[in-house]
Amino acid sequence: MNNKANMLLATCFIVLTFSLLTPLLTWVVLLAICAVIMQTALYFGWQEYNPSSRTVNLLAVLALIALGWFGLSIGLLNSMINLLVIACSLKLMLLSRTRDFLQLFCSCIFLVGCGFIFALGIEAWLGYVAIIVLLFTALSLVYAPARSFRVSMRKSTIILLQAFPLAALLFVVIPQFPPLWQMPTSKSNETGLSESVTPGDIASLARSSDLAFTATFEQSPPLAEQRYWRAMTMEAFDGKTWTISPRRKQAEAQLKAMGRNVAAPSPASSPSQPLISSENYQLIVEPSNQRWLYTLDVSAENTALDNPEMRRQFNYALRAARPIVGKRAFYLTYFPDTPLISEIYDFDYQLNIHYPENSNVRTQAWAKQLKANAQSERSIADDILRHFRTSGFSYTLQPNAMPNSPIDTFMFEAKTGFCAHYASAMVFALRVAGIPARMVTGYQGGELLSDNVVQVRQYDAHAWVEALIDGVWVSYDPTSVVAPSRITFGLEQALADFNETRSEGIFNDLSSAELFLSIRGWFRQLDYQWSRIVLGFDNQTQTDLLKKLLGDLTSQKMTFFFLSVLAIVSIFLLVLFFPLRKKSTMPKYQQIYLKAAELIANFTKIHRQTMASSAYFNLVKPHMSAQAVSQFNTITQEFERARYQPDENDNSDSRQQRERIMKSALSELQKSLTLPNNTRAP
Amino acid sequence: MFKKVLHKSLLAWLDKRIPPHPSHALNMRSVFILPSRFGWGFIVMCMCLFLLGTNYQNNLMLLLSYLLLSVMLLTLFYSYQNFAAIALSVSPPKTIFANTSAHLTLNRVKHSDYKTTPEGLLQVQWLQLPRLKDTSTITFDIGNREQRLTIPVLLHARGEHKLPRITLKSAYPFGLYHCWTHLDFDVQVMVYPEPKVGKLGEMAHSTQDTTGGIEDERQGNEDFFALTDFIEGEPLNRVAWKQVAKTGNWVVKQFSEQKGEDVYLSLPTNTPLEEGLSALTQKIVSMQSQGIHYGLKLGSTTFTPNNSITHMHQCLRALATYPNTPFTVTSAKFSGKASSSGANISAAQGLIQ
Repeated sequence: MNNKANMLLATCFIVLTFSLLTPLLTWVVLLAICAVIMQTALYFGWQEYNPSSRTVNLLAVLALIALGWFGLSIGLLNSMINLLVIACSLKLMLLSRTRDFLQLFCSCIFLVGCGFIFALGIEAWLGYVAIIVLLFTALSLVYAPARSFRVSMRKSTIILLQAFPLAALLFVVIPQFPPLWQMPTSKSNETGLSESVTPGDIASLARSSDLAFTATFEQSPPLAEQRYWRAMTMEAFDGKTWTISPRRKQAEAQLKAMGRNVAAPSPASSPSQPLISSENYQLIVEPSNQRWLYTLDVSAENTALDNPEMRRQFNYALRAARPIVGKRAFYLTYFPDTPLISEIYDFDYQLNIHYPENSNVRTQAWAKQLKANAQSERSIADDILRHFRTSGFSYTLQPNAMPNSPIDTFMFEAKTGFCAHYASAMVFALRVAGIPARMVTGYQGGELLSDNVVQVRQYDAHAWVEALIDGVWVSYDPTSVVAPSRITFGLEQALADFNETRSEGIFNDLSSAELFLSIRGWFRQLDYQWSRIVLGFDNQTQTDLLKKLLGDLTSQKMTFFFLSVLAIVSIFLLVLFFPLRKKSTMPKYQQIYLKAAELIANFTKIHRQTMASSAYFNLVKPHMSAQAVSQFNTITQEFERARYQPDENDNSDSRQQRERIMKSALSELQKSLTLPNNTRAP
Repeated sequence: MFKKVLHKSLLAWLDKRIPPHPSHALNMRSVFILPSRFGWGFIVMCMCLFLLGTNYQNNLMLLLSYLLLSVMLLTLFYSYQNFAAIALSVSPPKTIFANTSAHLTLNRVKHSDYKTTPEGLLQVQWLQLPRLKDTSTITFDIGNREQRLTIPVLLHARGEHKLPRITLKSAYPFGLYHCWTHLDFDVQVMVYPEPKVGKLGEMAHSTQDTTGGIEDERQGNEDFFALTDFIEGEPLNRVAWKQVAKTGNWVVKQFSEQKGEDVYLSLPTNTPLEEGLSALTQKIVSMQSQGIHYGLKLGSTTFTPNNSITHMHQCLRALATYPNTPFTVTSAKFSGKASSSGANISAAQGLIQ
C-alpha cells in the first residue's frame, strides 16, 4: 500500500474529526489523534509496522464498552457519529490493504455527510468540499501511485469541478421528498428559546448573535415596533419560573386524541372578520432541534403553497410537526390587526388567573391597591405601565440576582432588569388584580437585510404580556415604556441608551468601524442568499423554478424537459470524451491506397505492415485473380507516382484526375474481390 | 462439460469481437467496463447519503450525494478514456524451452485516436479458462513512462503453441470501475523440449566413423574451457553456482571438446521419447555455445552439420515438433486464423504463470 495516499487520508480524517467536535466525546477525539499520530509515524518511518490486530481488537472492545456507557447520555445520533469516528480510527491503525483504504474512504465521505447536520453555512460547505477533493486525491494516488501529489490533486479537482454542474442539475431536477421516517436528533444541540423562563434566561440568549430565522416578505415587512414574533405562551408560574402550563399540554393532547380540532380558528377562515389586509411571507428557520415557529401576530399557514407539516395551537402559536433539524422554509400569511379571540374562555381564564399566594406579597398588596382604585380592567393595565414609566425603572442586561421573591425585589428594590423581569412582574400584577394574563416569549424586531428581508438573531429574543380582557387577548409590552428604543431600534441601541453594551471585549470598537460593518453586511447578505437559494431549496421552490422555466407543468412538458436534460448531459459527455473522427490529414491518394491494401489484406490474409508498396504488390500478386491484380497495379502505381514524384502533385487538375482513376480502380478491385467465382490462386 | 462449452463459445465470441492481431489499439469494441465492487459500494453510499439528506431535510447532504453520483458518472468516461488510449504491439519471445520461463514483451505505441497517454496501474494476466486459482497478475504502473510490459511465459509441453489471450485490467482513476480487455496478439511460439542431461543416440561422425556409442555429458572428454554469461534456457547444471554465490552474476561453465569433428546427433533407442528429446536439446545448446559443428538425424529428416544460429533453431524446431515434420514459421503465421484457436488453447492448458 502506498504511504502517500495513507497519510493524505489520515490528514483528511483528522480534519474531519476536528470539524465534528460538537457531537464527539473527548476520548474519541483522543483516539482519533492517536491513530493519526501512528499513521504519521509509519509515513516518516519512525515506526515500521502497524499495531497487531489483536491490540486493535482489544481497543475496539474497550471503546465499544465506553461508548455504550456514555451513549445513553448523548443520544442516538451523537452515539452513531462517535461510533463512526471510533471505527475509522481503529481502521486507520490497521490500514494495510487496499480494501481497508476503500472502507476508510467511504467512512470519511460519510463523516462529511454527518458534518452537514451540524454546519450549514457556506464556509462549512466550502471546507467540506475541499476535504472531498483531498479524499479523492488520496484515492487516485492508490490507483496511479507514480503521479505526484500535485498532479493527482489537479486531476481530482478537475473531475469534481466537472461533476459540480451535473450535481447542481440533479439537485434542481430530482424531486424533493418529504422525510421518510423520523431521524434521531441530538438533544444537546437545541438552540433558541427554552420552554421555561426564569428571568435571567433570555439574557443569556442576548449574548448570542446567531441567526434565529430569516423572514422574506412579499411586499414590505411591518414596522419594527409591530414585529412581535411569537413562539410560545407561559401560563404556569411557581413564584420564580414561568413555564408552559402542563394542563394546557394535557388538554391539547386529550383533544387531539379525541380527534377534535385543537387549533384556534385560522384568521383567514373566520367569516365574521372581514379581511382587512394580509401579507404573505416566507420564514427560513435555522435548525433549532425544536418545533417552535416564530410568527407575527396573527399568522396562519399559507395554504396556497406547499408547506412542511405544522399545527396551529390554541394560543395562536404555530408548531412544526417535526423538530427543525435543517434550515426549513415555512410559508405563512400575516393578518395584522386581527384580535386574538379566546375560543375556550373558561379554560383560558382558569389557567391564567392563578398565582402562588404566598410569594411576592408586596407586589400582591400593590396590585390589589391598583384594582381598588381602577375603573376598568384596561385602566389597571395602563396603571401598571404608567408605574413602570414614572417610577425610575431602567433597562439592563446585567441585573442583580434576585433569588427570593424576585418580583418584589425587582418592583421595589432593584427597579432594573430586562424584558423577562418586566413581563413577569406585569403578568403577576394583572393576575393578582383579577385579570387573566400570560407571558409570551419569542423575538422582537430584527434587522432589515434588504427592503423585504428581516433577519432575526438570538439577541432579539423578547418576552411580553397578554391579558384576557373582554374575551380577547390584548398584548402589552412593558419593556417598550421603559426602553422604547429596544422596540424600535433593537437591543444594541437600547443598551447604548443605558450606557451598556451587549458583549464586552476589544471587538466592540472594531465592530462599529465602517469597514467592518460593511464587510459584515456583505457576509450576512451572502449567508442569506446561501440560505435562501441552497438551504431553503425545497419542493415548493423547485416547482416554482420549473414553472418559471416551463410555464404550466404538464406531464408532457415534464417528460420533454427531463429528456432534453438527459440529452444535454449526454452530448456534453460525448463531446468531452469521445475522439471525434478527426478529419484526416492524410492526402487522398494515400487514403485510397490504404483502403485498397486493407481490402487485399482481408482477402489474402497477408498484411502489408511496413512493406514497401511495390514489394507488397509482388507478394500478394499470386493470391488474387488477374482482374484484381490489374486494378491493384493501377492503384499502386498511381500511389507511387503521387508519393515519390511530388512535383507532379502541384497541379490540382492532375491531382483530381489521379484521384478519380484511383477511386474507380478501388471500386473495381472491391468488386473483383467479392466475386463468388474468384477463387484464390494456389 | 457445460462450462467447457461455455468457455469455447466465449473464446469464439472474443475471436470475432477482438480478432487476433500482433498489435492492438484499444477501442469501443475491445474495451469492457463495469463498476467494480467498490463502485457498487460507492453507489450504495450515495443512496444512504440521499436517504439521510431526505430525512434530515438537509440540502447540503443531498447535494453531496448528487456530487458523488456525478463523480461516479464522469469517472465512467475517464476510466474508459484512459484505458482506451492504450496501444500495444508484441515482440514474441525468441526461444522458449518447455518448463523454463521466457518473456513476452508488449511495447507501448502511440494510439492514433488519443493525444493523452494512459496512466495508472495496469494489471496484466494470461486469460485462463477455466480460471486457475493461482493465476498471478503482474502490475505495471504505466504512468511511469514504462515503455514495455514484460510478461513471463512458462509452457510445459513442447511443440507449437498459440499463446492464449492476455487480460489487461485497470481501475484508474478512482477504482470505481474496472476496464478490461482480452487481447490476442496472434503469437505462435515454438516450444523446444526442456534441456536435460541424458542418454543420447549414436554419434555418427561425418567421417562415417562411429566412436563411443553412448555419451554422457560428464563422461565426455571435455575440459573446463571458460565461463560465459548465463542465457535463459541453458541447463542449470552448467551454472557455476560458486561464482553465482560469490558475485551474483549468473555464469555458465563452458567445456571444450575436440573441435574439427562434425557429429550427427540422434535419438537414443531404448529411452522414453521425451527424455531423449530433452537430452538432444541439451546437447545441441551446449554444442552450439561451444562452437562445435553438429548435425541431426531425426526420423526421416537429416540436418547436415553446421554451427549457425539458424541451424540450431532448425534442429530444435524439428525436435519440438517430432514426430511431425516442422513447417516454416511464415506459413504458420499467415495461416494463423485457420488453425482453430480452441484446439490451441487446450494445447496451452498446461501453461501457468
